[in-house]
Amino acid sequence: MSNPIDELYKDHLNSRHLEYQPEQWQHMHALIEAENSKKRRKRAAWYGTGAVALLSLAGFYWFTLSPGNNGKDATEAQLKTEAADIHAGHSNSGKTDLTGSLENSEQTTAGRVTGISDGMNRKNGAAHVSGGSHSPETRSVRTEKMADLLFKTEEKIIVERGNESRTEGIEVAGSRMKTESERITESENELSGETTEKTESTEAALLVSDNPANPQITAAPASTRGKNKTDHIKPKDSTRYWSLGIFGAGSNGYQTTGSKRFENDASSEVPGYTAGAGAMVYWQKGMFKLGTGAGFQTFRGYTSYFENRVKYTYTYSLVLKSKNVGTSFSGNPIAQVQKIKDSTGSGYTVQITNRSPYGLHYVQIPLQAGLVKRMGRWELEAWMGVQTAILASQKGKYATEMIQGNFTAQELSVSRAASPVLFRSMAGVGLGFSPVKKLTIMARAELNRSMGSVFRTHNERFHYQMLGLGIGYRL
Amino acid sequence: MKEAEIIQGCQRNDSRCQQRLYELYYPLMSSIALRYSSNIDEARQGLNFAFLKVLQNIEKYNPDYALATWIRTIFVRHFIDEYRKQQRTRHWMDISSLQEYELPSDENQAVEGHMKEFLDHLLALLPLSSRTVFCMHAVDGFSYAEIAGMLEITEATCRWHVNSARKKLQELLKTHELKIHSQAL
Repeated sequence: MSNPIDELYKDHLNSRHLEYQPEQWQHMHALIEAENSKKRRKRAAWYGTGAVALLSLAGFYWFTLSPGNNGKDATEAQLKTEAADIHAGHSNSGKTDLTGSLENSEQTTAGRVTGISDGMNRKNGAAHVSGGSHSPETRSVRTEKMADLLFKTEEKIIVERGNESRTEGIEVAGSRMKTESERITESENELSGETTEKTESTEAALLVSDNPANPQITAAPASTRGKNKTDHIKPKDSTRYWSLGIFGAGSNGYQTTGSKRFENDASSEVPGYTAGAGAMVYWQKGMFKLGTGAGFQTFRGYTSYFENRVKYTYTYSLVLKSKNVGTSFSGNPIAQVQKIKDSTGSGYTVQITNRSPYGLHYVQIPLQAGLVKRMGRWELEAWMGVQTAILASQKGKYATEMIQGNFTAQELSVSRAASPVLFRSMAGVGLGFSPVKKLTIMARAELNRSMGSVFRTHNERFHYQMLGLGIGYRL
Repeated sequence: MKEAEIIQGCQRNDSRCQQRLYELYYPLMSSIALRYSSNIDEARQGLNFAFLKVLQNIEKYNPDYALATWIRTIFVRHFIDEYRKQQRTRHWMDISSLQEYELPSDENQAVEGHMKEFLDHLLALLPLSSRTVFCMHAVDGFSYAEIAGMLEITEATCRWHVNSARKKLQELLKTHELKIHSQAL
């Protein structure tokens, strides 16, 4: 048997409803439109993030893996070493000893001569030679690259060392022999119009280009077989590196806010959290440093938007930004000082807040200094910049209404769906001092975009999408 | 326009159909919104957000069930979610503030003309937890086990909230000598 109170209220509450008003649908329609718009923007933001990720990958490849790029910057010493590697690969014995001993020299030279003469003697009209298990195309590309490197190296060595010194070692002898043999081969080809054929399968894997007009005899160096083709020419240039790091993760723990925003909203303690994660990839090539990253951040709790509505506000929170993890204290909502501690050191950020009819603006002046461990060395780095932020919603007036607190529940509901968007940009300069690399001037620019909602001033969720770009010039 | 056509239109994101659905189920939706909200503004706001969820999930609707039941389920769950979000931050007036409510001097007039308003007021004076659990159990017919699962509290706590709400409502009604209803109780 049901309770009479239950029956009373069941009848009462089921019979009670609001009168339909056309304005109600107008608000609903605005809400739907805002939601659709939010979805579109979210999709666009994901595409943007994907594009940044692709650019990052492309940049990573270009700066670190691109063989052409590496070849250009390789030092002469490396080239010499590689040339010696390649010559050692020509040897039937497969020896890689580069001491230039007469034995090796003779053996290598002999091997080359034998191979070449065999090739010359046995040319039988075959148009193409393929060796090993590789396809002709693959080997051809590889052959061209290796040959290009080999001949460039040999030319350098020849120019530098001259022709007269026999004691220069096997490289010179081998190079000469190869150059001469190449000329002979080319002459032969020109006369006969035929290509050479590989005549024996040796450890040195002698290859012939599939270009019949310009066959080039070369060899895959023994030291590179079975490895990535770029491994053996990876530069040891210390000015070029890349790294990957996390620039935001954690929680803001607990916020304490005294608020009388609503009649029935007594001072309350609000547990809030901020969590974010992202990744940043940056490279340094020569004197330039280029970095890019992406991430997101979620915030829950009271925000500073209402701080000026509250007479006494005390905020203690752990703030996460693109790279900053620190604590903030706000005694005055107009200006705020944040203590920052992040992976590059610690410092302070001064935040000045201004409100205008178009929304919320604030300016931050980050001052930061710290020790940075970079490439195994500790460097001192100081940073100063200017950061601005603009809060705007899809419909500007709602953002303003929210900030001023003069909103009705309906307007707020639309504002919530309109997803106030926070655009934040930052630019500044910094100085870095290194005991080894002297002085670094840095410039950094960031564009952060957040999507969020403000709901009855209690529950606020923000999703940050951050795109940062920094460039540094190292003196 | 038939209900099936309205649903199909909503699935195509047709604004006209969305409006028709909104108008059609507005009484039901507002009834649920009112019982889980503390004032009319909040109810209208909650109604719109809950309806947005209905539209977002309309493709998942199974025509084997009544649309009204499906909408009702989404609405109740939406307001329970909102309740959970607010639970830590909302503070309610003490029950003693009932004295601030001024009943009309004419008792009969109060009973006839202001009875509904007075019942609403009494309900609004209950603590949020008790009011929510009471509405879920007494009006929407959820079992204690279901309420406990949705609100993440124990069944015993649910029972306590319902009994507490009943007791307080009965006391308040008696206090103001609403004889007709007291006798009916």
